[in-house]
Amino acid sequence: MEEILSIEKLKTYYQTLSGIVKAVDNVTLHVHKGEFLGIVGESGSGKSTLGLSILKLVPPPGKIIELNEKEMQKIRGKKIGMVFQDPMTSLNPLQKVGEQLIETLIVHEKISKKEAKEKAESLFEKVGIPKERFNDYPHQLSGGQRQRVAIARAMIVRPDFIVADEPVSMIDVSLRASILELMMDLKKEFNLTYLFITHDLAVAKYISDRITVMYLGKIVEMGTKKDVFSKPKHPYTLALLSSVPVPNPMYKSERIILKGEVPSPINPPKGCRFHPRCPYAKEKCSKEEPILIETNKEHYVACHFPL
Amino acid sequence: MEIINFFNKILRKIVPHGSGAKLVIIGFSIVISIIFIAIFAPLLTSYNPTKSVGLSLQPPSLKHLMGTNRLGYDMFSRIVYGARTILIVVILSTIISLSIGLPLGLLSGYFGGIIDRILSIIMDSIYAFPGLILAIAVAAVIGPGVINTALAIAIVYVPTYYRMARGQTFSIREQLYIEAMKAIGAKDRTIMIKHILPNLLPTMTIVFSLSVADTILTEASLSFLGLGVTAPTPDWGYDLRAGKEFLPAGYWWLITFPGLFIILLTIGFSFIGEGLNEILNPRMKVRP
Repeated sequence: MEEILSIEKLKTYYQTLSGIVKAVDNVTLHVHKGEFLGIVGESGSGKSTLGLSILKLVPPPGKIIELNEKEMQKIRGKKIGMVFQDPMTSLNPLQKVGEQLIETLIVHEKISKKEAKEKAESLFEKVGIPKERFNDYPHQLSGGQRQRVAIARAMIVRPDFIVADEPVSMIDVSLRASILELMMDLKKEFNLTYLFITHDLAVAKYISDRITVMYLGKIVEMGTKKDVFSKPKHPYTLALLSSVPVPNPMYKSERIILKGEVPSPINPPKGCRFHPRCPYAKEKCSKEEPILIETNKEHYVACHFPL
Repeated sequence: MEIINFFNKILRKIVPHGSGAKLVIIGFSIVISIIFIAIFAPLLTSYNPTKSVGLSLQPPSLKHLMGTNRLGYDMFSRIVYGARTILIVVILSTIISLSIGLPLGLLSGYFGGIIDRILSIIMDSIYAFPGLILAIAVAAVIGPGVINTALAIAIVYVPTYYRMARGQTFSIREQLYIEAMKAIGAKDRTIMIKHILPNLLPTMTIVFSLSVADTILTEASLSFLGLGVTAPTPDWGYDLRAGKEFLPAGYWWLITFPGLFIILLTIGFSFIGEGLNEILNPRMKVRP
């Protein structure tokens, strides 16, 4: 399959007063063209930082992306779009929503204001907002509508690749499915590839083709949706999956309750980062760090003793 | 300045908290009427403010509404034309300090780093001087005159606008919508002009009207000390100084009217600032 984005050994560290936070540590990831790649993990697992690093919106720790700021500005929006988590704050409160779309177009294309307006209006209809709302300010729209505007803003210059950082987690549950469906429709129409960051496994299951599970800045498991959900190899994935409620009262699932909290990323545990919380941990786990290996076809896991 | 605080205290006795709109209306009416006086000066008085038009030191009468001064100039027409002088100086100096302080503050707050350090140190050292003393020093060096006075005052207020713009930019640039603009590939210049600047305006309006009130007093003080606008240009501060010597002899009208108008204009702007602050700053509302 054709690759649209390949990340090799990405490291993003934050310098804080209490030490260096290794938010993303040695992540290698390949995104295939036209796929819906879901990234799941707890808070603090580095998934959002991964998304921001792709656009180089966090200060680069090294020469990972060998492009300067000027070159990045041409890629941001044009090649890679981004949808943020909170639609309440991701739109400028003092600018009309329609204008925010037009502006994105003008940043990247030599286009007249009138043409830009026509384009923006047609996209408005496509994302399901009546044209009359074009001159509204963000506060006049509902949360769902605002996220639709944010999605439209990411789509308007027709990027090939969209990084969506928890786009539905702040949306009312009743509206989530419709936003997800909108994203799927747009994917078909514009031939998009998504990197979809979420902590909601149900959402990931609903929308992704492949799933990547992150823990403390590392990828612990990666594979097709079917593989990861039906045959998880990593104990962490198993624990995550067991936390998802099943809408069947007769189904008795075996709950795996993880002990403790996510350890501090400033001082991650030695060896396998999951070993202090892992019910299957053995001595080797605290000494040696497992690497991501392919166990089955297209199914990768970073564990010494895969399930 | 203490004088402004003093007036605001008195004002609080008359207009209670929570009526910001009233304050703004009162302030605007005062300021607008003085602006009208300045614009329509030739219609309001037929006397030339820089020529002797009658006997000297005449008390207010129907012929000379505010009396005449030592040289026989009509005080009313000097007040009317003096409004022009003070407004020109104030507007000019505000434009200068705003157009230096605001962009520098924006740049400094947006980019941070070494530029911010250097600019902050420069601005803070200007800010450390008492405003009037600095204005006196600058005015003494560059000399009197309308434009020079405006320049001397402008230098004093650059740090006020700079600090305000910088602080606001610091907090706005951390907002998600700024990051979202970066994510769509917007250039720094676009982000600063189209996304940060409009968000600065509410705060800048308040700072603007409060420091204009201050500017008026500084202008009057400079002229009073003989370092600002010089004779024979009609100017309230200068007339105050010229009239001061005659007060012990009982010629009260020479200082009463210029003083009154300086106070009026100051109060007008400070009411606007206070009122806007009350309307736009929600934290003020809970204060007793």
